[in-house]
Amino acid sequence: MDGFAELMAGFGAALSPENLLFALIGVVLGTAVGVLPGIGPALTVALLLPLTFKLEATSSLIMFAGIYYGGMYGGSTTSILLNTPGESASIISALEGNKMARAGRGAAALATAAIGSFVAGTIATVGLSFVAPFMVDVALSFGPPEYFALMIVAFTTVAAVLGSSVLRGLVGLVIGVTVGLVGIDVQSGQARLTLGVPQLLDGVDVVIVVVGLFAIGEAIAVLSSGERRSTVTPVKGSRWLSRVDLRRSWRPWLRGTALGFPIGALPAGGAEIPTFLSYSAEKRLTKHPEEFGHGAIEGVAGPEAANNASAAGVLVPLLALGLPTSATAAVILAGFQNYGIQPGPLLFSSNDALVWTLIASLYIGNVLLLVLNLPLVGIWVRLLQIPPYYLYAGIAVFATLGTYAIGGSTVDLFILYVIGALGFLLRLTDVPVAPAVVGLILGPLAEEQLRRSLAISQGDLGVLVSTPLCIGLYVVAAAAVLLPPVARLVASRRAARAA
Amino acid sequence: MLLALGVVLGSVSLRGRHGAAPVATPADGGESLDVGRRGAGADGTGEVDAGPDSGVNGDAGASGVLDTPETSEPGVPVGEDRPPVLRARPAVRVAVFVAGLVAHALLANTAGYVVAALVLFVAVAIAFGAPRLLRTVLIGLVLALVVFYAFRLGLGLALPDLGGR
Repeated sequence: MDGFAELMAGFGAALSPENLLFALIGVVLGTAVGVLPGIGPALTVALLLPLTFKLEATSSLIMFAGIYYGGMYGGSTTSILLNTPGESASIISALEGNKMARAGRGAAALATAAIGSFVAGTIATVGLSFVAPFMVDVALSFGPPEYFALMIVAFTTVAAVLGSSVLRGLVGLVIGVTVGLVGIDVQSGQARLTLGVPQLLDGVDVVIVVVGLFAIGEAIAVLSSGERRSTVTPVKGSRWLSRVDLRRSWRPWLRGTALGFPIGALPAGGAEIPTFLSYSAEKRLTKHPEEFGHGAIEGVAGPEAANNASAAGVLVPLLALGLPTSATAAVILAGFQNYGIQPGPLLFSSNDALVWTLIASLYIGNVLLLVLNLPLVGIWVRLLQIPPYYLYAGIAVFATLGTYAIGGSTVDLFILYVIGALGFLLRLTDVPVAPAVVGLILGPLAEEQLRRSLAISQGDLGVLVSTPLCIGLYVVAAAAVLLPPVARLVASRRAARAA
Repeated sequence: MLLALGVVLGSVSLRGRHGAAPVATPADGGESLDVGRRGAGADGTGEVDAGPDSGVNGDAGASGVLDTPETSEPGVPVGEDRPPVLRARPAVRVAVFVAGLVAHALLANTAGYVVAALVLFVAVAIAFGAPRLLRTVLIGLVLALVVFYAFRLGLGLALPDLGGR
């Protein structure tokens, strides 16, 4: 098989000392930021985006992907040991994981999370290797109207999935798209949404937006919500899984993978949904229902596997279609763009060496992460001991540093602060930030596809619904937005009738 | 109130080097405990900057965490149980945070990056309830210097010099 030979060539390149080093840096950094509360993989990749001016494309993309994978591993350590979980995708594992740690089974929880992440990550990366070329074959027949429709699907599903309500998700999305449109329009030369500020003519840099929304906005939100003291639960017991725990874990790992990878691989968003699904599946299937809510190992094993499998899944539409469906994937896409590379079906023919090296490095990254998170988990536990005041002070320094790194000025710093204030407002109103980041980066691409479609049809909007595939995609997009409210309405009607 | 909480938690976890540290009595001048804690502090700065390598050797203080025996209160509180430099309402804390950001932007091109970053670090740490002003200033200074030279030597990008450009 052709793809297999290319993958082997990719392994050859990925195993070069330089690429191995960047994979290692990526997974180490990723685990660290996954562990640390208040800083996640999207923010970290954004802060490292300026490195793309210095590094070779393969090296920095291997590092970014490592950060993405590592963040998924690291998040589980925090959710198990800290009483205040970090990122949204690991909240579910905190349900049972923190209970297990409190009951003195922290080591088993960490082990099942790490091994489960490895199993799921590896299976899902195999899935990525096979599904991505297939998706490329399908996507090669797409024209601009199909791409535009696909992007609308990604927009609406990300908005519907990544927030507490569809409306809030859409608000976040629209804000992101709006910020993404700031600057000179390439085709007409018109300045858009620049408010007369000359520094805005070039648009707002991705780094500034992501750092502002995540770092500054988050910090203000934490400050204004008052103090909440975190406690770290000490790890007790053996670092390896006992035979009983292993027997209870392996099926949830595989089920979590089976849920996580396909959902992640859809050009629709979210690592959260598979973790929820996996948790409820394990709760229903368990032979120990009495343990759920008090620290059931299945409740950690399943969601953690789902979490990692969906991370690999998300890379399928990112690489094969150029569609980011999570905040981190969107920032990684921005990294590709810095090299003038546009992910999508052509990537696999024009930059096939890069793609396959990247995919091979994911297999290697998973092995590195297993080592980092099983025998060496103690290091990460110590990271949790960093007092929040030093942590946030450090984050603030690095957040502003990101602005200098892209050649920014004092004006850019104030733009960063304004976006930070916006990020705080979003948190106050419970509007999710992730759709904003996806909208920011995908918005201009969608505009480009829309304009291309209209250029082909000479302004006839009918081209957008000219093929059955387009129409089908718009139906999916409409369903993503309309179904959740309708379902809620039906449920409340039913509840009202029952009462 | 925080102090009282600290004493309670501290006495519950009166074991392990790190567990013992948080006992916050007014008489504790701090110097005797500094060795262990300085480790934890250095970890704080080193980490954000370089990744976990510095976590390995930077942290002598927290090694008690992994082998703490059974406690009735499962959980080691993060940070020190000392009164913060600033005790204030959230609104005031946010104001201090924002003041630090604005001061940073204004100072960067006039007083230079290191001063600006130091001011930012200290302001944010205080807004987040850091105790021990002197230690915070020292950590901030080290971080600012490391970042300044790492940028200049590593990336070849010049941050504003001392005294501005």
